Amino acid sequence: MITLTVNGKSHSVEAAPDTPLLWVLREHIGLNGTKYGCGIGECGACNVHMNGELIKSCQTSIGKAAGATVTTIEGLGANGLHPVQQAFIDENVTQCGWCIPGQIMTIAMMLETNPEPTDHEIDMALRENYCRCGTYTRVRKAIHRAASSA
Amino acid sequence: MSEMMNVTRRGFMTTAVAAGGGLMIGLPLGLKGGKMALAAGGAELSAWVHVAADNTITLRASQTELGQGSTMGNLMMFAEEFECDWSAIEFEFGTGRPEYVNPLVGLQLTGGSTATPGFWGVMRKAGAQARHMLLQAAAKQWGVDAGDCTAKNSMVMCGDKSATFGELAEAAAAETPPEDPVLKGYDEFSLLTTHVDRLDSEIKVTGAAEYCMDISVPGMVVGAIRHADFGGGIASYDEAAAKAVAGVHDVIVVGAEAPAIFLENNVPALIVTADSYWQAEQGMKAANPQFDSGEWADLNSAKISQTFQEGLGQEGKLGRADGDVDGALAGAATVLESVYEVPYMSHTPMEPANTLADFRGDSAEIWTATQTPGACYIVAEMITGLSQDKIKVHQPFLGGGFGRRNEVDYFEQALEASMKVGKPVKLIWSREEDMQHNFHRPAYAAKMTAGLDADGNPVAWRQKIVGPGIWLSPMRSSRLKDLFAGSDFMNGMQESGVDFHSVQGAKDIGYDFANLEVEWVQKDFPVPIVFFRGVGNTQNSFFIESFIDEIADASGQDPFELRQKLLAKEPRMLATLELAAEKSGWGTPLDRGHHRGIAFHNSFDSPFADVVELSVRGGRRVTIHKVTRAIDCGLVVNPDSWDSQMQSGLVMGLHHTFLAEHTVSQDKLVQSNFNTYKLPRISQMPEWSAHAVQNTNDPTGIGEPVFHTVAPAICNAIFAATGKRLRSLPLKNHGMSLA
Repeated sequence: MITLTVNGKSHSVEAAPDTPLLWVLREHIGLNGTKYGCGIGECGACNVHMNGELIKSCQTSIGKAAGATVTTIEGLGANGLHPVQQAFIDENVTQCGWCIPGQIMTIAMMLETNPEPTDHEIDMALRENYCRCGTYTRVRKAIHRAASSA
Repeated sequence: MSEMMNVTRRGFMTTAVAAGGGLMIGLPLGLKGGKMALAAGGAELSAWVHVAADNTITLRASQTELGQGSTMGNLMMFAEEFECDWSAIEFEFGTGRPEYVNPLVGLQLTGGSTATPGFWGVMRKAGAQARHMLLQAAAKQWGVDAGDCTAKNSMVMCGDKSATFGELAEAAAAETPPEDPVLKGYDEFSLLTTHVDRLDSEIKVTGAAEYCMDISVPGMVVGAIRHADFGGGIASYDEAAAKAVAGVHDVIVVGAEAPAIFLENNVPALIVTADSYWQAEQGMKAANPQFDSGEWADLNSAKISQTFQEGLGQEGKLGRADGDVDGALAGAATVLESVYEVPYMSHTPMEPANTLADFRGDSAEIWTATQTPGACYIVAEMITGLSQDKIKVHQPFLGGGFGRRNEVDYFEQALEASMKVGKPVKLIWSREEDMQHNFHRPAYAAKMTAGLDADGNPVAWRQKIVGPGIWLSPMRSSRLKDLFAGSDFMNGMQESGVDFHSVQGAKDIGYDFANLEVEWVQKDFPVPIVFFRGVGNTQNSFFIESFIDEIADASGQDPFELRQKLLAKEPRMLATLELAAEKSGWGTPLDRGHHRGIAFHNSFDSPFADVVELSVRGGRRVTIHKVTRAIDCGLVVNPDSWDSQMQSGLVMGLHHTFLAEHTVSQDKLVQSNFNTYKLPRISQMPEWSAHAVQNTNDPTGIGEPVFHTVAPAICNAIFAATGKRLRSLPLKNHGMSLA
């Protein structure tokens, strides 16, 4: 049994220690907002927050997440929508939506340390997030909107 | 595409409608939060709408939501005529009813840029009919003339009387709708052509949107899969070792025997099932499957390319022959000839292929990430032997598609697996399987020849295309292809020997050449192929538009003005080209080091033009400063979705231009994940603007036309900057990168 806290709730899961956190979130805890895109840490679709840091949940084993505090897209807006989520709605960013939770988790973490990012800083923060539908222009707009609303 | 549509409508639709009838399954996906949409009471007024007693209105979509937004466009068409309160609607996806058949395809299928034009008449008429049913019911209740009743915001009114749609729904369901209701004129629209926000934003940004991979059912096992090499088989695997892994249940081979004859050029695959996906993957590692390649063991990209080069010297079949090309070339003052080539390219939607199939002996229920529920029903019937009224196919949200999900291979694998193991099976392809066993945009080469008179006017045009046939390749076994067997469309191709999509965008070129030939030399390989956003246009636009620029350069003409001349007889195309030129400031002075390139292409009845402004540093590093896009797609149904597609096509175009390539080595695709098949990043997103030719023509498609002019416009701008003509994609192979 490995115990961790996800979105403020304690979970004990029976899984091999090498099981990626991604699949524990999806298949053991039932939080499907975190997406599988590549499994090798290249696309960012599985990004979540763990102990206050942005991590790739496909590259983080549940063994390493034991005792950790994890926030997923479902828990980001604990008190209603997070400003980044609201900005994504306001800018109609989403297309297929598969990469969106990972993008939002990445941006939310960036804004915590850098509430007014420049375009270059946005580029750097999102350098490991792929969007196949190509929502990038609107993502940038949404980040600036979220930054100015915060 | 219209050629295909017309013939298939005659040749295939009857079967599809009959085969698709009898069942309706709306997915319980209330789009305002993923809750169960259908509220209690009320009634269904047609296949498209359910009105609950509490006035909750649930609209149903036939067209799959891949991200492109046309699902919502379809609902707007319905709502415009239905007069419901748009801000309060729910929606769900319907499958399996004859009403959901795409009239331009003959199947319930989302593709070919047909979702909007195909349902433009259908949805508005259906909305008007449902409204009339409510008006008629109200008129009877109130003892008034239905013609005196009006509907607005989900209410029916007449004088001082009013009732909600919900209060009238049960009575309205018994009414007969008028056959041909009068539809609103364009100037009466209140919803269509206005900016309407996406309905699925909130559930997608909170993780609540349900995709196929997110769905579970009791007793389900999860399957991992490994495919044999192209045209090959499974040599060995260790079943005992796999089953020794914790959580593993089953080790089975799918696609090896009838009726599962479809699977990707008949290659079998090994599936290991377990309690969870990770355990299934560990079981697969332990099973250690080994594959043999058969006769294609030595297949590689160099051989494919060599075969293409040989093909350029061979005689093919003529897709089009106007005038006397040989004669015109003989009399030409200048003859130009260039050879172009493009590689295999995978769609790589962000959600890998997956399906959840539950075969229960006397019925089957399947959730699948598909663009073709219509094909799924037919294929499920073929595999299971069940009649279609015992089969339910659900289409949840899709994490992208781009044409790949018109094939139903993974659907069939999951269903076969569920039949074999006697449990519901959720089959998930790893990213590696998804890329390496994708159905690709085929590789092609083309020899372009033009004859110019003494004034530089093109007097002869010949395009010789060498490559595989999506429809005619004998190595491409495909249920989708088989479904069209016997149609006028297939018969016509077999008779002419010319594959529709190999010459798409070339045979129907928009330019006016008195002497013109388009020829196709068929060269097939076992690499799986299918439609990729724009299909034949993706490569033919690159070939044609690059070569047009070569003609302009050789004859000292401005690339825009040459195109203007060649489009003089095509007013819609000309207007689109001119709009792009005007908005880009074509011909105006540029910043130092900046250069422009232009490309035009007509496809899916939507002329499109791109102007790219860029600079090149050190001969290799490309910075795109501005992209100006123009289209004539008739009425813009929803300017927000329209703009989103303009953005989307540009990014995919950047990928096509600079990065996208699958090479083949020893009968395998080399690139297997995003570390070797890279996508453009946000830092590479250029400034862009998009412009629509303003008119009130019925809408035409945009999902595909937005894509294929990007590559030639960039290559033409690079030529302007460097004098280097780049005749193959992707540009990374020329040492070029996008800053």
